[in-house]
Amino acid sequence: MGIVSSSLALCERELLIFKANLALNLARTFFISAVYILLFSYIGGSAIINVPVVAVNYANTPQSFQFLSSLALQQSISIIQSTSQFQAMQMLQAGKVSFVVVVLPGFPSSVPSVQVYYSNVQSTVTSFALSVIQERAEAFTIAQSFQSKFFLPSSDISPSVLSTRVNVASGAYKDFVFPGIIAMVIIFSSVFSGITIITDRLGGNIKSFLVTPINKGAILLSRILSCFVQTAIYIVVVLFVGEVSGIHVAMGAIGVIWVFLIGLMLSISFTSIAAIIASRTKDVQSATLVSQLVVIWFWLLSGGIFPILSLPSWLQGFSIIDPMTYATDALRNVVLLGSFPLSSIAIDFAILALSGVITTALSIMLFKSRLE
Amino acid sequence: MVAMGSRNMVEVQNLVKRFGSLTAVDHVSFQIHEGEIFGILGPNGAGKTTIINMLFNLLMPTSGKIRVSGIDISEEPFRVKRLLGLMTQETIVEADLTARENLRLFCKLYEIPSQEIDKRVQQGLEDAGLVEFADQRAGTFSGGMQRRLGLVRALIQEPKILVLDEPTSGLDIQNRNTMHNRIRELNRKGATIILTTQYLEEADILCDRIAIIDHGKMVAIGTPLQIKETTGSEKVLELVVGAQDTQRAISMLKSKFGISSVLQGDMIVALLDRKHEREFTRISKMLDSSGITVVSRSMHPPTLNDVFVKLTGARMRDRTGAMRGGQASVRWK
Ligand SMILES: Nc1ncnc2c1ncn2[C@@H]1O[C@H](COP(=O)(O)OP(=O)(O)OP(=O)(O)O)[C@@H](O)[C@H]1O
Ligand SMILES: [Mg+2]
Repeated sequence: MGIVSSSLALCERELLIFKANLALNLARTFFISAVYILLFSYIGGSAIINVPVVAVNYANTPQSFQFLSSLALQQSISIIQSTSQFQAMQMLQAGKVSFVVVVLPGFPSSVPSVQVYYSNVQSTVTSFALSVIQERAEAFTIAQSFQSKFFLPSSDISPSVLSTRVNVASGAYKDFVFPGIIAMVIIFSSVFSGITIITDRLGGNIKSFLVTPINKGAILLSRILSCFVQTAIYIVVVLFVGEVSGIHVAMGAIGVIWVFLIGLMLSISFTSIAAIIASRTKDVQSATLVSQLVVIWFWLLSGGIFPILSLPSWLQGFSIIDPMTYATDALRNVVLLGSFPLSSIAIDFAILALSGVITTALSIMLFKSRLE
Repeated sequence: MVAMGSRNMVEVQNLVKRFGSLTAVDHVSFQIHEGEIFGILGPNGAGKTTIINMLFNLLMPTSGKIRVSGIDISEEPFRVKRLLGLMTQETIVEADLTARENLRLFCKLYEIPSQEIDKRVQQGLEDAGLVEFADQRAGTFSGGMQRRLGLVRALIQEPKILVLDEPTSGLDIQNRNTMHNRIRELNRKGATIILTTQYLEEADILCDRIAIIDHGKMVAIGTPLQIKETTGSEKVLELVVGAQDTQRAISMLKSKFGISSVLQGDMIVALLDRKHEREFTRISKMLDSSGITVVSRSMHPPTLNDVFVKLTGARMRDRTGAMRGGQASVRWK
């Protein structure tokens, strides 16, 4: 087929250009990932403003609902409900939430009546949140004990709330943020590759290709293909930086393969998104500006640098339509948790594939009309 | 020059291209015969590149038809593209690729069988005189070297028709002559050549036939000789007088002899018909006696440049040129 051979020829051209600037490309990726990892490991998670909490309510009593809604009213906490403690614990282990609050059947009179699991990620915000949860739970259980007039509670022990620390991967914030950094490096390189379409268009290179009997689609396809190779190389660099700074892929060697697969899926969407931007803007400056804005928003909303649940709820809606969210989610399962629930990886992949198809189709359409 | 085939290699019929309110190409029609060097001559913004872009199906014509070797371009663009080779106006090489990689890339895009690629690339490097620079990045080449690489790249698929968009602008005299010789040589070997140019002398010495385009309209077509003859048996008078006397000299020519003249740079240029030709000495004396310092005076048969002035009107051109951002008239001597 014509489009395949011409795409491969153009892909080879892209890679030769990549090779010609290899040192620069690798250094950039190395420093970006190293800087982010260093930066975030010292911030230590204070970027989390709302602490995400999963609540599992086994009590189902009016008081238990009251207790949970009083937690939800706390400014620093955002609560989601779950019916399965297993699922909730998995979210905790994958670093998606900081706490699991289990309201036990006997709430508020049983001892203990609330079980709290919290991640070993150290931060001032999370320890503050832990004290808030404890305080709210005690308020309810103490009120209950006054009501029943059985005994006066002792102020220094609180048998009603049992807190358990759960080891989440290695527990440092830099581990949490590492999948986000992988995703970021991938989309930066994809967007960069997509944006060069505009330099090629303005420089006349694309004209010189279109003079030959190639299919116009090959210009975009070749870029996606070459971006695959570049993405793979960048992933190696980021994983290396991670390894050096003590972040290991929990899933091991298989996990590394998964990281590549997820990264490639993600790069399709963002190469195409950049190509769409490149076909709609007049010059490199505005294309770069627009794509940077888009990339930053996609990145912030993806849950890569802080949990989605800690975003204001009106922003969480945008996270759902952000392809990066699913890549970060999948990467986090691989890197932090070391396993993924089958349903979650299927959804992540399906959505990444769908977004790849939609953005590619759209960019081919827009780009063809632009080349007329 | 080769005997021209009777077959039309390119037929352009009533070609129109509008960009919004601007008509860049305005009902242009011409035929190009097999084996000829056909020149499209016109100033900046005349519409030359736009015509070429439509020939390669890079732009859709607003209306009109183009046939290449009898094939309608809009129906079978890929077949047509295999017959055509283009060297673009701005020299475009892949700056990060070596000369060899540049040529290999285009071999692949033209789907040249892989066993033949090495041979063609080597031949191309030899033709361009770039063998010893074959593995250096094209971005480091001089303008002349890049242009030579661009030319062999346009020839890599052995096109029947070679299209050169301003092949010599920006080249020094030596490189320009080399390019001219190369074009003649390719033509001798049988290629039909279409070239655009802003240089009248170039069109004159190189082309078998010329179409003059101005503001998208074709104002003349024919051999250089035929075009020069359109001015009849006129002669061209060129006068350079002291700067302070210029306007006086122009009005004097008008009032005393009924000759209308235009100012091109420092030079007063007028077309003289047969009656006025004999008056050259009288005009000369008359200027001297009225105290105008005449720096130089001459009379000669018209060149293409003079024809162009007559056909388009340099004065009118200067005005519209200014309106279009002043780019239109700058490169005309
Ligand atoms: N894509 C476009 N959109 C709008 N206007 C255009 C476009 N391409 C060309 N033009 C306009 O059409 C006119 C003809 O341009 P064209 O490039 O064909 O001129 P040219 O004869 O090749 O000039 P030059 O000698 O400067 O190369 C110019 O006024 C130009 O501004
Ligand atoms: Mg041009």
